[in-house]
Amino acid sequence: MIVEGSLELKDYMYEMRRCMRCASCKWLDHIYMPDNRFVYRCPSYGKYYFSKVAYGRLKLGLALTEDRLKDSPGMKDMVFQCLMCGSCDSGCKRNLDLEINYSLEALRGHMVESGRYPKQHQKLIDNVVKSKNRYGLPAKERTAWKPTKAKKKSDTVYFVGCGASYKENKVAQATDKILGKLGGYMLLPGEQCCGHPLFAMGHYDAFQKQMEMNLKAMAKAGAKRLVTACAECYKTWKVDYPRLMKKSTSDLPFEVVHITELVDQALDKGELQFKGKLDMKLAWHDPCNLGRMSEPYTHWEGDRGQWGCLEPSKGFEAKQFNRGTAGTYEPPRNILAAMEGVEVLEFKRHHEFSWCCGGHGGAPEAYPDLAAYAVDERLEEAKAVGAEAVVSACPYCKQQFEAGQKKRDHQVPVFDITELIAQAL
Amino acid sequence: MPKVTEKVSKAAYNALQNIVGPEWVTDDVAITESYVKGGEIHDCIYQRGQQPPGVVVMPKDTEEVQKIVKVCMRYHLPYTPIGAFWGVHCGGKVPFHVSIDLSRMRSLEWDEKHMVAMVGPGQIHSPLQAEAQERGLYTMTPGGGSQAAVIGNMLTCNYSPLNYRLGLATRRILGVEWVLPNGELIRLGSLATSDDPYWGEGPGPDLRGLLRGYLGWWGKVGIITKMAIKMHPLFLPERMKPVERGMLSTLEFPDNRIKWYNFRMPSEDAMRDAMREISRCEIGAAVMRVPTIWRYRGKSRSREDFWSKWGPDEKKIRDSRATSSVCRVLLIGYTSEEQLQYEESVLMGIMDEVGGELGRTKQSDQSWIKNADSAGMWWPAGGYVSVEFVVETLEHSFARGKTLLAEKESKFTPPLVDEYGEEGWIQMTDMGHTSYFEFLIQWDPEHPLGKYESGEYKAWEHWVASQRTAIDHGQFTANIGSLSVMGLTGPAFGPNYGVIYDKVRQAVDPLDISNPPLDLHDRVIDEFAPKWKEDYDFQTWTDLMHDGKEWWKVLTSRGIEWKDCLPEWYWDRDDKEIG
Repeated sequence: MIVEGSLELKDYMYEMRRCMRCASCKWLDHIYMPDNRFVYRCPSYGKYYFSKVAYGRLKLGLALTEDRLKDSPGMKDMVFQCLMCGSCDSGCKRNLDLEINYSLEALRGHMVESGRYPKQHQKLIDNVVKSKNRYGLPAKERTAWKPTKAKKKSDTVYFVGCGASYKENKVAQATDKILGKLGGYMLLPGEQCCGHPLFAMGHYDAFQKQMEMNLKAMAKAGAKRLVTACAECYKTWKVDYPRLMKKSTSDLPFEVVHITELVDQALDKGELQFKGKLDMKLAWHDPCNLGRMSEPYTHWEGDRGQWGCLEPSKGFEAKQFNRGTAGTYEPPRNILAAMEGVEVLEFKRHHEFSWCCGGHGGAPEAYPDLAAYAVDERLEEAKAVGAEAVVSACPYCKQQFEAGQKKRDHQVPVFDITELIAQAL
Repeated sequence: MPKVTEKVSKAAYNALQNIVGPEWVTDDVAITESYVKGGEIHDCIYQRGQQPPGVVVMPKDTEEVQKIVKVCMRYHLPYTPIGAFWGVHCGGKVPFHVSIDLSRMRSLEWDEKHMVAMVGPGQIHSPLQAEAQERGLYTMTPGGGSQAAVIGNMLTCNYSPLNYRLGLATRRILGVEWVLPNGELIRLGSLATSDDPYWGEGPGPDLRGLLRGYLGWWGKVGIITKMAIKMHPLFLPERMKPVERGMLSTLEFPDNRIKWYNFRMPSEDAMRDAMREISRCEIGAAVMRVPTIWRYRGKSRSREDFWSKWGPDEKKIRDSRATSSVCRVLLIGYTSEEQLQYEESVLMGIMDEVGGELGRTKQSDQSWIKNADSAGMWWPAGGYVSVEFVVETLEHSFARGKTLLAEKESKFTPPLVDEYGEEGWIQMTDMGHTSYFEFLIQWDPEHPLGKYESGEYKAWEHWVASQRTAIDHGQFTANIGSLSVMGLTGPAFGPNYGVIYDKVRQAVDPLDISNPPLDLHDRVIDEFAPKWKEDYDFQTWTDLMHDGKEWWKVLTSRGIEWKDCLPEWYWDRDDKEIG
């Protein structure tokens, strides 16, 4: 019996056995290979080389599952020097069609279960578990950004997330303004961390508890829609919660929407209009958790038959989900294109093979060298495409870009898309 | 079974670390474990018995490669160079070897004026092609795929349908920089006298012949650290644009200059006549017979999608066997739209004569320009290997297809995938002077014939039987294994090529430490084809090379035998279970 999205390493023997090191997890999609400079899709490999990429980790997972390896001095780094950005998974789907992301998540869980995880993760874990936010700050400071349009009751919940609540207040304030124009919203009473850092670092038991508390609060609020401007919260609510509940995203009793989807629809229907002119040549950065990691989750249970075929077939004759291409890619592009004076540039690595900013997977805490390398590469890419500004749709991407800029001579303004939308309104 | 646990000595490790720095050398098993091709999907005879290295080292330049090789000599450490680790031959074959991972050496230098690109050993095809097109140049992507290392691939197969027009890839090798197994640097062609790599011959005897060709040395005579490659002028004014994404991503063809044609042929004779006539008229950029199964695979969007069509269509495919294989032709207007129009009219005339019926096809890069989805060959069934790939005459190619098919269908289907009478992939090379033949088999590693390995075991048997069939038919075979081929077929060539090769090898690698071959091939032959040695005066490479060598003595002194290199299932298996 196979359960889609299982978190048990032993459930990925098929994947680990069939990885034949084709390196689609390492190289950029060859059709889109732009030049000899930006060739990798995997930041971990780009930084560390050797086999610190999905194929290496799958080989390690296989050896662990088959009990051929116990431990080694470098095993922890081998597993956790990874941003969990999912780029490898979309690469594999191009060729071997294996569940790489699930396998890597299960490998992390396997390591965590035996206590083998970076000690630098512990503070972040404790912050979420004890203080219910990733910074370990008091809960009462969560609304210090001063919402102005929030109602006591609404069909729409704005889930602010830790990043916008505590650090990137401009994102929260801009979203407050946008949602105010779109009929208002309510905050989730007693909002707390969605649990994303726990999931990304492989602490699934703690994540489960966080999830249960949030779902209970959402049920109590009775809203029909949850909107967020944070890509990490978006992925957590849209993908990880239903996955752990063994449900499909479409089975959730409420809709999970990223602010860019909402604004895109409103622009399309004429409910929002942009005014003024921005005069900017900007590069759009696809957050991993808005794009390839946030395809709607489709739950599936079944068996693997002859030739490795899944029975029943996953929903359609041709498997059409969990390939990274059905994430949220076009809404932010549509929004930026609708802004007068804005020239939208594509990074060389975009859509499902977008390069991660480095702010994910516990890397900034445990491997700041990897996080710094990833963001520096992305900023170098921004320079290469002639961007005068970088815009994304996740507070953590913005934080990463701003931190990465400090060490560079060539600096460009960094925006969250909500700031530009609010400005254009 | 004794466990192999002893590592490369501390002194040797330190010496390697002193060369590259601590960051670029490791003996951590969490990493070395992944330096085998593995999992269990690819495990046909090529890689069975691959060993994780004792140490992985990543040099940054030629000088470091030289120093590493000298350390390996000093400590009698067998080593295996790795480019992109695409080819299964890349995996080390002996315990405790040093993997020299050349991935950091991904240099790419251009001489646009003379249409030459010089690449490092870690460079792969897609960046080369991308940069070439920026410069108004192009090359081809081999069947191995865009992810294959350029140098590794140029030295071995580098087959592509575009070789029809561009010629076999090994002929496009120009200046070469080569680190011999003793660490000496040798520069071939014009690089011998200058830094300009524009010319590949000489000086004196052309030593490129020791390196290249599908019977070349597969890394046995040292490490190529730079290679200049002849490029070609791009036939379009600008780069081809990528369209769609994920599994569907491709380059869009401007059909006024580059165009695919698929013809259903009424008979095998018509197919052969058409292919011959196209090349005789010197039109086309690629001409091939595409097995039906690859058309189904190309149209499928998942494993389940493939089987939902391939299985039910059996009768349809068998009934139309003569017409189900497609003659696929690529025309390019190299100089103008008019050239494409002219070649199209010639092509249509030929097809009118032989009865080819034009079908539909997508006008985009179905591999070979920028991409080649070779890795995707695994997903329909789970296991895949090419049991034969050779350059022959067109007639030989068709004949080989028949013998291999007969062999396969009579004894090995299932667990091999039934291709309903398919006789292999044929593509014209060198404007029709030769043709390339490939026979691919697929199988389910978990076929219910018995336990897990039985599917693979049958594939293995079929592989060996195929070679035997080829030899018995007086046909050359390339796929007997990376090096055993010369031991097996050498005596048939009068002066024993195998012995001559070995003398050359001894001259440059007296310690036998540069990529020692997969002796397991010989062991497999012992088991599966015990009469071969007697029938063909076969001398194994173990006999020729390893016995008496210092590193081998070291291993045997530790009580390690070749059987230790075999996976546990191999010894545990019960032959009675295997059907």
